[in-house]
Amino acid sequence: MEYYSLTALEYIKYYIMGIYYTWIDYPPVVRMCSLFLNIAVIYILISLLKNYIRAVKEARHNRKQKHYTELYEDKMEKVALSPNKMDPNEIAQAIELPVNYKMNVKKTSLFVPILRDLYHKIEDDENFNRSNWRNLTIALRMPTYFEKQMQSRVLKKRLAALKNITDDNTDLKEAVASRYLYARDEKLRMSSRLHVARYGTSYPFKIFTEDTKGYVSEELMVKLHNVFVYRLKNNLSIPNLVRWCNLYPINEKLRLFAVNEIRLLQSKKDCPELLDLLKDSKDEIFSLAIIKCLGELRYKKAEPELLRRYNYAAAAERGVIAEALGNIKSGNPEVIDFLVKDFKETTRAATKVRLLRNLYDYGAAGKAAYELLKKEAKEDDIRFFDHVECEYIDSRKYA
Amino acid sequence: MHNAISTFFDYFILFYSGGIILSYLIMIRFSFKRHKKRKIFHDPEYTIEILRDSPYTPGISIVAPAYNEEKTIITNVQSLLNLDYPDFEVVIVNDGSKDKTLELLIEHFDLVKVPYAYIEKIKTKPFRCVYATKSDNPLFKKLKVVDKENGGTKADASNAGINVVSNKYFICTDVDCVIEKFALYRCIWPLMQSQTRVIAVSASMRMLNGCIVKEGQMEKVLPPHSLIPLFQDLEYARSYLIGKSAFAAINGMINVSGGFGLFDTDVAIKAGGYDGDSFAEDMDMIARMIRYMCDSGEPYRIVQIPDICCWTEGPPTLKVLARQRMRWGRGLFQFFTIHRDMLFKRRYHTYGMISLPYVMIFELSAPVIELSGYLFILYLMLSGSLNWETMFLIFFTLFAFAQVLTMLVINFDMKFKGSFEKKSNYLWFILASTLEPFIYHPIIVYFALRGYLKHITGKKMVWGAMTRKGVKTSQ
Repeated sequence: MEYYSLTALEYIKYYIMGIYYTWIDYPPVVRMCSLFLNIAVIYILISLLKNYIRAVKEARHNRKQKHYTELYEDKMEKVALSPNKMDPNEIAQAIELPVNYKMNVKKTSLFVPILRDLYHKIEDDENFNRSNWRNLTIALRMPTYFEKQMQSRVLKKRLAALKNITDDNTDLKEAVASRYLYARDEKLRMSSRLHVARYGTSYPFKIFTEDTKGYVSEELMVKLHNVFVYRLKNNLSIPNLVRWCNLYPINEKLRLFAVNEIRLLQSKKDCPELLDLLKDSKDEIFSLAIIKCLGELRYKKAEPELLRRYNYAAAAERGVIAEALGNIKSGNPEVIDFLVKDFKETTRAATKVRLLRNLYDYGAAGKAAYELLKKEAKEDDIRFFDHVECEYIDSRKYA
Repeated sequence: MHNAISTFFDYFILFYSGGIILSYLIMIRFSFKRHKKRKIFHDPEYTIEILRDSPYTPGISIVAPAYNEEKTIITNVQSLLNLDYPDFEVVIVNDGSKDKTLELLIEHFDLVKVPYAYIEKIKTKPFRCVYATKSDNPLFKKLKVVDKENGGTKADASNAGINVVSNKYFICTDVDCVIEKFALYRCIWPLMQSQTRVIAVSASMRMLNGCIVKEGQMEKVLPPHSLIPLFQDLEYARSYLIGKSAFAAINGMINVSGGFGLFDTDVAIKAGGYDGDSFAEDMDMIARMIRYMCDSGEPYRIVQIPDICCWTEGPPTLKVLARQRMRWGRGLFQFFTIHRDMLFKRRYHTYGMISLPYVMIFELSAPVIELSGYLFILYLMLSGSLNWETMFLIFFTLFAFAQVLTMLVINFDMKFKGSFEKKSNYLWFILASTLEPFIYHPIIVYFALRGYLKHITGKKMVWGAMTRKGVKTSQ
């Protein structure tokens, strides 16, 4: 008797036929159910297997990462803090890299988190040797690794590379990052622009002002501010922010951002030009940003213009003007009269508290006016005075 | 007659369950797309790094009502104060506690009564006073305690807290929840990325039962090892990673949990805050916020983030679960009674046209239809006309569908390095999912129906205290 053994494919075939014939006389819904049931079982089994493999791989990667950290981190730290200037070959010997070490995506990627953590740890250390750090990244073949990652087809890898270059402070040719300045994907485009803006040597901000239709989200503001701070810290140029307000009135958010940056970076030299802009401005939001900026930068010459504007300003603008005048603290008696008048006119609790706070902090004359106001105050308003006077309440944060 | 009923029921159930499955498939598609995008673009560590020192980072207030919490209040407040964020304040509302909650707070945080200019932007039960610290400890300076008369609901206490918040955004939570250390960064980031005004952010929550907590911070996330919280953990994971993510994708978010959610203060106040009479106060507030935005013609977004930001203790016993579910059931019914005018209205966009009808058809009516299904099967069994073969096939298909959903949830969760460090802990989810249709689901249906019945009969219902078993703490 001859035996015939079935192949795996035949088993599958007979199984499907079995199901088909079992439910052949049933309504279509029942047959669909049987089909779905089989697909679901297969999906569940594959998912379980996939998750198991993923877990095993992750555990293996973690073990390797731990091993590399233990093996190299201390040696790398010593090199980065060493006062002696070392070239890449000397560094490779000092950290005991294998003699035949070359760039390998899997192995080199293990150095990325080590470098990142180390850089954050020693960045502000006075012994930090930047030249050694640069040579260390060269010894580990990081620039080659990142260049390769930047050329990857996978979007995530390109984005991660751009971020990691910043984190590890690896020197990468500007041209490499510039490749995606006009990329179709918005995230990649912005990452690339921010990277170039951070490290660029000529005028890397041109791209932001060119793209007038580009949306300036708060995310971009945070990142651009970060770039400005970094550049100022490293004596690199930052753009002329007043020009951003002047040249590109179409992009509303960019103008506002520029004014806010002048305020945050305490760029007092821009105040006269801002005042001129305020005089010409018909845009309420833009004017408010300038008023706030002039107030916080304590630009005394802005006072007459602010007092003039107050008379025809909307309610929201009045509050901001009052606060700005309070911040300037020029000692001008006219301002005190104005703050008192505004307090009497306003009905908003938050504005009242803010005005009182400004009066309270406005030197001896301001305090005298405050006391007078308190004596005349209505019963319902007394609580605002108590609120401002209480040392345990931060009345600047009353909303 | 028998045939007519049978045919009607067959087709009705066929289309109804087909609708549920189809809606789930659509939701899976939407949530998968969102998760994939987030996986590519979102880098939580980088976000924290750049927001920490940025002057653009908006301030957040955390509002947490407390009622008779003397046993845990100090640890819980300490844990809230230890969160990592550059600009935040913690507003604890003592809702007329009868124990030593307030005294303990005063003593430990060196609090004094301050003449705070309290404005009742949202009406609440009488406010007594505000306490602030006189200590120089910068952490304590972030704390404000509002003392008020007991309003009987969390909503009333939360409203009093909202009245004193001084930031543009606030998070509403429970004082006994454990909040992830970097949760505030995670919540604020989508808001800063959006081109449209974000009025609320919903973040994922999970069960605290079984986890190990150290000094108010999560030390180790473990699955609950008792059945009821385990079922609820799976239910939460499914809801946040599939349902809510999909609704957020079409900007039709139904609910931002009362346990943890970030809101735009201005919009919340203008919408009237939480409704003290509602049993689903979180769902109700979102409806009113959406109504306000749509009526004033302003574009808005409600965002859902898959990161786990908060752990809350789930009902440890059947009795507590019954109370919770009956309240939810009643709340849902009450919600549709109040907001029925938003249904199928184009003015309310996807919320009125898709989300609300979905909830009404597949959530509000589901327990009633399920009950009628059980009764119909019983009738078929008794009359001897039940086709057992077909019944089992359909049953196993639906069972397999539930398992597929669980596998998807596990996949999503693992992608975000979500709940459990040890991957084998996900087996608990598989166990729960296997038992759920036999044990948990019928119970939930029963409690929901009882909730509906209580609402229809107008029976008085009190919130009742949520019995806590407490969590494991590491030394």
